[in-house]
Amino acid sequence: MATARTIRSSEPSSRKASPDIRPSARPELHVMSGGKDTDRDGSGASRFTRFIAWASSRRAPAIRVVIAVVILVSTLLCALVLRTQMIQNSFDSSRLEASISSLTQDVQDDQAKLNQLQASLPQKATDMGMIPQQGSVSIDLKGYKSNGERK
Amino acid sequence: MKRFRDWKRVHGIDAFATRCIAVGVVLALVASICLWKLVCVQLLDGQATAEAATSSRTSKVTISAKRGRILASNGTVLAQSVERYNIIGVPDAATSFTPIDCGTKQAKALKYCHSIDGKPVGATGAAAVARLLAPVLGMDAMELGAELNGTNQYVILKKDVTPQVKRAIDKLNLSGIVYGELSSQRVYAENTLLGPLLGGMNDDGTAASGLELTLDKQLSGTDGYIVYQRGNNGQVIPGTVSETKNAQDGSDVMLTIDSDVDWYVKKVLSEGAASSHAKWGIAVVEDARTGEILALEDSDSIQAGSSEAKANASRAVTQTFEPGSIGKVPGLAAILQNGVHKIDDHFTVPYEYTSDGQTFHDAVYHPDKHWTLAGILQNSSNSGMVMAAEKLSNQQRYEMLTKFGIGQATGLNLPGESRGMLSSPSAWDGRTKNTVLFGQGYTVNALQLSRLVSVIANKGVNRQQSLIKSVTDKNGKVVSKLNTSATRVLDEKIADQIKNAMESALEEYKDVAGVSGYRVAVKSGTAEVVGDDGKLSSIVADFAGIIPADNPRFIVTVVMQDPDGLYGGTTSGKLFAKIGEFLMQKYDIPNSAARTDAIPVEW
Repeated sequence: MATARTIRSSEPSSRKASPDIRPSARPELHVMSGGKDTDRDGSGASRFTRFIAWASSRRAPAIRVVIAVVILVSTLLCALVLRTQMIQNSFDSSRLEASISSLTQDVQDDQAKLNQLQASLPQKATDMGMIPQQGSVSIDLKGYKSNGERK
Repeated sequence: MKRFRDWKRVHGIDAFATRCIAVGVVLALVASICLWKLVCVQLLDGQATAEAATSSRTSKVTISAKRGRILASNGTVLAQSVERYNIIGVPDAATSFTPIDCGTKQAKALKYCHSIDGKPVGATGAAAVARLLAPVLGMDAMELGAELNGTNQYVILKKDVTPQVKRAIDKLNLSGIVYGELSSQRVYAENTLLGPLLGGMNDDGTAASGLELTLDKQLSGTDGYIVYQRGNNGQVIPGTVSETKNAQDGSDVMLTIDSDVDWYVKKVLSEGAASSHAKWGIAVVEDARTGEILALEDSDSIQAGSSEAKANASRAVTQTFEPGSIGKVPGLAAILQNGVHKIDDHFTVPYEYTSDGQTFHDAVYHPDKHWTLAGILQNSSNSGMVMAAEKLSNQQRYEMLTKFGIGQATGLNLPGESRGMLSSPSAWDGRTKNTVLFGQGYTVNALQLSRLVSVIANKGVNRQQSLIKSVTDKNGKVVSKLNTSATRVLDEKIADQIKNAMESALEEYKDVAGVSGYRVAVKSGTAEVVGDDGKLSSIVADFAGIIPADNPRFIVTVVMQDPDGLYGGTTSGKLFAKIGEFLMQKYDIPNSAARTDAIPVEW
């Protein structure tokens, strides 16, 4: 790992030199391979790999132990925090579910009341003195002739 | 011993060191016992202990499915389920209850206290619980106190309270003493619409009677469940949900009944039956085009879900009676269809006529009349019918009656439905073979009577009736349940001729049973039936018609027992006209053209 790292880190520097020699030639090539590549490598896994490499290159063995313990403890803490958060969420969700179910009950109840009122609407209308339309008036247009006023 | 002392001396161990070692050994012993126990608990019995703990935390919670609704075709909800709670008391806990007065240290520590309208409870034990609970439940505190007194663990204090009341009880801080159990209540439309037809539910949530029972398969859902480990307050411990099955809600069932029509029919019928002092009344409105039953009512006032509704089937479905003169319609159909006579054949009809030694006479005396066959139906002449059917065999009479659906099941499979009675021609005596021509000697229910008339309205096609329109499952998938089977039983021409004669039959009742602006084809009937005294002292007056006659849309049938006034035409006919008028207005039916094609009734 360490060697690969060395080779790669040496690459940009060697390329960096070339634009100095021929400034007008292939400026884009320099920009792309140089800065961006290192940036991408610097994030995530490769950064961690670099850190491990650095740690194992230390002379004092204590530092490795310290690092291991720190990682272990932080993992445990992390698990604990996550676990707590999950339980917290579980409480929240059961509280929300309870409130949803009580709201659903209310909605159901109101809907039932509304339905009942709707069903009793004709009776209520009659009680208030309304009567259904009775009889019908019709005009027989048989034999009707337009007098030509309408176009 | 000596050797041990020598050994100690050699190794330079003095008395102090000996004691130290002894204590050390004891401690080591204790430690190893602990270790052994630990090994036992963790390794040997570990699995069993863990399982026991898990199972005590694990619970299977039932997710109850919701029962489907019963709807009218216009969307009115006739029956639906709502969530309710049964309030359960634990008398054992209530007896040892001590209220916590507000403002005390205990109240501050527990963060709750008990009070009634800001005042201390002023009692302990069951009495205190009862005082707190009574106003919320709307019950008497003394009664509640008596129920809560004892050593039981389970007493139902009140059934089917609303969720709001249950929540109010939760806020009383009586946990462990009073709690709510989820239940379900069936709620029906407020009025007595279709009461016994809808039926009701038992307390345990099973269907008891009526459509609730016959449609139970569609309406009831399947309960689901969820298995998980729960914390103290019932919350799910994350990641422990091991099994779930969603509840399958029941399907909604839509009837062909239009609640507006049904309501109006019920109103007309109840008022009509009351004003004419009838024992009971039944009315049916059927859509002539589809066979859908739009209204099916009787004059009984039974609220769906009541104990009466659970015990009785609907009268509109169970009551059978002799149709009387409406039975002349299949009689006439048999004469015409079998080519015995034509509709305009001439008859000289006497008041009294004797056939096979049996004498038949008309309802009202009249001298000999010159009537055509249409005239015989118009004037509802029994003598005329017997006379015209002389050449008709018993089998031909019987077959036509069955083709009109008499003695046959309606196919609606309604609870308590009776198919009436029609005996086979071999069992007919010399009189019955002729009385069947004018609707005596067999019985029908109101739906069968409506179907009989619908054959004429449908130009000779016997169409099956429907009461269930569709079933909608919880995914919204609608399945039509309409009966579409139809059989031609009569030539179209003959059906039209009979309809024409039925239109003439209205002439007599035009003022009472006519609907202004519309042509109506009707037939009335009056039959003597066995009354309460066991004699033929009671009458059934029925009236059935097609409206409008020129373009049949509806068949309205009204039946009453013992109304004031003898004849079906004047009593039930009046109600027919009211219902007919309402239908024409509601469905915006265009007025009929004047009648020009009347078949002569006299010669």
